[in-house]
Amino acid sequence: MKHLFRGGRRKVAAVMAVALVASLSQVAPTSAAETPKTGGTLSVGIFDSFPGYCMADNLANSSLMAGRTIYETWVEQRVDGKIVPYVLSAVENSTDFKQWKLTVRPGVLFHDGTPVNADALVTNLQALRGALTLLGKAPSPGTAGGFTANITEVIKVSDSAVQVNLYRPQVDFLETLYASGRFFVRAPSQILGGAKCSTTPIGTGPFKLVSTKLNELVVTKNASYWRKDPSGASLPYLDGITFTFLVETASRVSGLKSKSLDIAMFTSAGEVKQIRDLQKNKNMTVIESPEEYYPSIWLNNRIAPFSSKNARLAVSYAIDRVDYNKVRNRDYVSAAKSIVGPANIMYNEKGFIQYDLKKAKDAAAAYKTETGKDLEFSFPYTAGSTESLANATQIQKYMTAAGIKMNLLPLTTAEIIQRAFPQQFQAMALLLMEGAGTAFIAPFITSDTSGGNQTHILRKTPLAVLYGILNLSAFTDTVSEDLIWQAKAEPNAAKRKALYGKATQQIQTEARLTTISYQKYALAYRTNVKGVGELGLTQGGQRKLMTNFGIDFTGVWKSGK
Amino acid sequence: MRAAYYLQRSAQLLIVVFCVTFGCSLLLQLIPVSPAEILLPVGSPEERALLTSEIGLDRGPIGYYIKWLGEFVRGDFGDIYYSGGREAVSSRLAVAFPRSMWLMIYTQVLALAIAIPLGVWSAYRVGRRTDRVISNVLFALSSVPSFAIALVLVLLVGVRWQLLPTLDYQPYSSGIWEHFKHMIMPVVSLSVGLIASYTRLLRADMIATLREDYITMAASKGLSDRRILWRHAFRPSSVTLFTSAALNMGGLIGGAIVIETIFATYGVGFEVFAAISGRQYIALQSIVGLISIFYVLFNLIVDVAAGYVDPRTRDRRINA
Amino acid sequence: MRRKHTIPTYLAFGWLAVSAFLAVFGSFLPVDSYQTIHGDFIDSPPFTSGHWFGVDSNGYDIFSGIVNGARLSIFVALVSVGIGGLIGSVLGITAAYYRGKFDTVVSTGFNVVLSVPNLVLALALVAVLATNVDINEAVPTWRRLTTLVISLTVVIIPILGRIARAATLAWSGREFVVAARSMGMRDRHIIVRHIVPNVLPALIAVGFLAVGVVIIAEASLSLLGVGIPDGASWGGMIARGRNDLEYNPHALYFPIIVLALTVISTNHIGDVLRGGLDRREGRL
Repeated sequence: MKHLFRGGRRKVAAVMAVALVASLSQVAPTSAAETPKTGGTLSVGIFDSFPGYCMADNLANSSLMAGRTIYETWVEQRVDGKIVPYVLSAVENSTDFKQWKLTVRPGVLFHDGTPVNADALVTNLQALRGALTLLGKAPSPGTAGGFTANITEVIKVSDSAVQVNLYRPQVDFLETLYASGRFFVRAPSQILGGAKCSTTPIGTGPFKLVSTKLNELVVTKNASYWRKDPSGASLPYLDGITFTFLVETASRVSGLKSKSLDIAMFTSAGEVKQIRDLQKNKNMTVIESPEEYYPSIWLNNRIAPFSSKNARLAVSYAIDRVDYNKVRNRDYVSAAKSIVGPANIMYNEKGFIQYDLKKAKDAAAAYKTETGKDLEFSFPYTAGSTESLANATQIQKYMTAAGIKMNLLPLTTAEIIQRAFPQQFQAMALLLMEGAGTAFIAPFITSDTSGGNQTHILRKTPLAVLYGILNLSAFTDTVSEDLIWQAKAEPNAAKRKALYGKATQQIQTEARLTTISYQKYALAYRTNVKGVGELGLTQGGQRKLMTNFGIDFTGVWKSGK
Repeated sequence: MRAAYYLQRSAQLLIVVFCVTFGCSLLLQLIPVSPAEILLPVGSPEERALLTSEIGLDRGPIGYYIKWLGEFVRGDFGDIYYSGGREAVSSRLAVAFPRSMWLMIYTQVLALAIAIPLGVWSAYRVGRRTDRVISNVLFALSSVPSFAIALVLVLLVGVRWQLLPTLDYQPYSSGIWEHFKHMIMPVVSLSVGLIASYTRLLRADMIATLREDYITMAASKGLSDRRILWRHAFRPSSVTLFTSAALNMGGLIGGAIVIETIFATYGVGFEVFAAISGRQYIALQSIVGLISIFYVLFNLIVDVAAGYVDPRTRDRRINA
Repeated sequence: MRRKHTIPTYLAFGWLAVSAFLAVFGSFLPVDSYQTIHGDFIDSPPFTSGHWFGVDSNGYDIFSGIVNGARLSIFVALVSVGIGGLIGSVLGITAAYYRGKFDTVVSTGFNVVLSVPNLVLALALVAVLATNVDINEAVPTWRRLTTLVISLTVVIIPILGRIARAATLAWSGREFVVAARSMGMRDRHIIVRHIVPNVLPALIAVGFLAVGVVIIAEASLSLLGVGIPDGASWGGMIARGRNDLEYNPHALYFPIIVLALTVISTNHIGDVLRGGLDRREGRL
C-alpha cells in the first residue's frame, strides 16, 4: 500500500533493487551513555512527497517516517517482529481467533485535547473499513478498505474497550491492525472533519503539525505527550523537525555534507553509490534496514499474453537475476530466490523459477504453438527517471536474448499509478510486499480480501472493487488462497509456516508474478544527532532500529549546534 | 492620445489572459479520462458526479469557463483535491509566490547588471580579441544547462568550501543575510544563461546603433567615447534587450522547476509541476492564468519604458 | 573590411562538419547502440579499452551516447529553430511593417504563447499529443519526436517573432525607409531591400543562440520525462548524469564539452555570416 499513491518519480524506479547479504543491517546504536539534551530542531531530507494524511492518502517510506512523528499506531512492532500493544494497553483474543478485544491505554490525548477512548478506536476502525464512508461521514478509505475487509463488526464494549469480529480466523490480526506502521491513531475530529481530513493531521504523537505542503512537513514538540523517558523527563527532546522532499539524490547528499541537513534517507533502488559514499564519511552514521522489502514484477494474469502460463514461464525463466543484481544493484542486496525474502514466513525456494535461457526459449516457443503469435508485451517505466529506464532496458536485454519482444512504455508517475490499480498494464514493476509476516503480503496475492464474505458491508457497493484491487497480477488461484486462509487460522507456528510455504510454492509454480532482487533502505545522520534507536517501547523491548519508514524520532536529541 | 494607446494596449493584454485561460479550459475537455475519475480514484459514481458538477465540468466548456472566471476574478483560485478533502490553491500560492517573485527579481537584476556593461563593451570593441573572448566564454557558459551549473555550485560552494547553505528558502523576516544566503546559488544558476543571451542582444543592437550617422557626428564633435556609448548609443539600443527581459519574467516565475527542486526553494514552478503530475487541472488553470497576468503586466511596463527610452518607437506606435 | 577566414573559423566549420557527419552517419558507424548496458564496465573512467570516453553509472557507454545523441540533438534543434525562426520572422516583420489589425492579431498570438512558461507548454502538448488510447501500446518514437519538435517550434516562433517585430518597428521609422516609401517603392521591395538586412543581424544572433537554448531546453524536458525518448540526446545525457557529478564527473563533462563546442561554433559562424550581412549595410 505504501507505494500506491506515492508522489515522487522514484516510485517505480524504487521498485527494483537488491544486494549483498544483509547481515550488517542492524547497526548497534552509539554505546556511550550520554545524558539527552532538550531543545534544538532537526532538518531531514526525504525522497517521498506528502500526498495527505487521510485514510486513502498513502504516505510512502520516508514520508511515512515524517507522518509518524505526528501519529502513532495502536500497536507497535518489536525488533523480533512481534506486534505489541502501544496506544492500546491490552489485547485479548478468543481461542478461534475470530474475536479480538482491544483495550485503549488511559491518559493519552490527541493534539486537539480530546482523549483517546473506545469511541475514537471505533471511529478509526470504521473509517478504515469504509463503514463511515458509506454513511457519508468520512472520506474514502482507499486501499485500507481492502486491507481490513476481514473485519465484520466493530463493537464498543466499554468506555475503553472495543471488540472486533472477523469473518475468517486470523492469528495475525494485530499485524493487520499495524499495517506496517500505516494504520494511524487519528483523532475523530480529523476523520469526521470534512474537507480538511487530508491536510490537517491530528494524532497522539510526540510532535504536532505546524504546516504541511506536498513537499514539506514542519512539526513542533507536543508538550503534553504521554510518554516519559526512563529518567522520568518529558519527551520528546527536540523542539521541532522539518522534513523536506528532495527528489534529487545529489540534493540529499550535498545537504548532509554542507550541514543544511542533519538527517537524510535513501533507498537501495538507484542510490547504492551514494549510500556507500556516506558510509565512508566519518562525520556521518549510516544505518540500514533489514532486507525485508520485496519488489515484484507483476504479470497481468487476466489479459493476454500473461493469461497464458507459457508466457509467464517464459518471462520468469528469461530474467538473469544474479546478473541483474550485479549490474543494477551493485550486489548491495540479494538476488531473489522466492517471491518474498528469507525473513518472511512465506519464503519458499521451491517452485521459484530461476534463470534458464533454454527453458525460457522453450516456453516462448510453446506460447507460439498455443496462440500462433510471437510472445510480445509492454512494460511501463517512469519517463525522465534514468534508473527506471535503465532497469527496464536491462530486463529488455534478457527478454531479447530469449526471443521475447518487450516494448518499453515511457509514462509519467501519475499515469502509471492511475492505470496500475485498475490492473490495465500487461506487466509492471512495483514494490508492494514487505516484512516478516503476511499482513502486507497476502492482500496483494489474493483475489478477495473479505475471505468470500457475501454479507460484508462493502459487498453490494462500488467499494467492493477494493477486495481485489491490490492484487496487481489480477489472478484468482483457489489453491493458494485457501492455503493462505488456513495458515492465518493456524496457531501452531511451524504448521503455519508450512501452509504458507505451500501457498508460495503454488504461486511460484504457476508463475503468477516474479521477483528479481530484494530491497532495503538507509538513513544517514550527522554526528550531532544522538539517541537514534535508544528509546525502548512502553511495554519493554526495542523497535526495529531502521525500516522503510526510517527511525522513531521520540527519543532523538541534538548535541551542540 | 497616449492614454488611448495604453488603454488599447491594456485591452489587448487582457485578451491574452483570456486566450490562455480559455485554452486551458478547452484542454481540460480534451483529456480522455474525466478529471473526477482521476481526483477520486476509488470514489463512487455519485461522488464523482457531485464533484463534476461542483467543478462545473457538466456545463460544457463555455459554462465551465464562465464559472471558473467568475471565481477567479473574486480571488477564488479553486481547490487542490485530496482523497480526503481539499485545500485552497490560494493558500499554496501565498507561500510559493513570494519565493518565485524574489528569485525572478534577483535573477533579472543580476543578469542585467552583468550583461549591460559586457554588451556595451564588446560592441565597442567589436571584432577585437576582448569581444571574441567575452562572446565565447559566455557562449560556453550558456551551453551548460542551469541545473548542471547548480549542481557544480552546490558541490563546490556548499559542500567543499561550506560557504553557503545548499537547501531551503528563508523569508526576509529571518534576517536579510539569511534570506540572501539562501538565494545566491539559485539566482546565479538561473542568471548564467540569461547573461549570455542579454549580452548578445545588446551587443548586436549596439553595433548597429554605433554605425548611425548621429554617432559619427557626435564622435566628430569630439565627445568622449564613454559619453557617446552611454548617453547616445545605449538608450536606443536597449529596446530589444528589455523586451527580451520582460519575456523571461513569466518563465522565471513558473518555469524554474528544476532549480527550485535542486535547492528546495519550492516556488510557483514546483506548484505547476505538482499540478501537472498530480492532475490538478483546476489548480493548473488558475496558476497559469496568474502567471499570464504577471507576464502581461511586465510587458505593459516595458512597453511604457520602451516609449520613454526610444521615442521614435513610441511615435511610430501612436501614429499607427 | 572583409574578414579573412581565420583558424578559429576553420575549427568551427570543422567541428560542425564532424557533428553533422555524426548526425547523418552516426548510425552506420561501428559503435554500440547507446542503449546497450555494459554491466562489467560500470563507472569505468575515460580511456578504458573499448570505451574511449568511459562508462556511466548505469553502464551506458559515453562515446556511443555522444555519437548517437548528435543525430537527435542537432536534428531537433535545427528543425525547431529553422521552422520556428522562419515562421516567427515572417510574422513579426510583416506585422510590424503593415501594423493595423494583422499586427494586433499576431502580437496577441505571440503573447498568448509566451505568457505560458515553455516547460509547461511542452508538458501540456506532450500530454495531449503523445498519448495512446490503448495503454499497453507504446507511442512510436517518431510521434513523440514530432510532438517534441512541434512544442519546441511553438516556443521558438514568438521568441524570434517578437524580436523581429521589435527590430522592424525600430527600423521602419528610420529616414531611409520613410524616404523609400515616399518615393513610392513597393512594400515588398522595401521589406526585402531595407528591413530584412537590418533586422537580420539581431535575428541571426538570437537564432544561433536559440540552437543552444533548444538543446538545453530539451535537457530540462528530459528531466521532466518529456524530452527525446530514451534519453538519446546530449541534453538527456547531461540530465541523467546529474547524480554522478560527485562520483563520475566524466559522465557529465563529455556531453557538456560537446554541447559547448557546438554552441561556440554556431556562434562563431553566426558572427562570420553577419560580417557578410554588415557589408550590405555599409553600402546604404
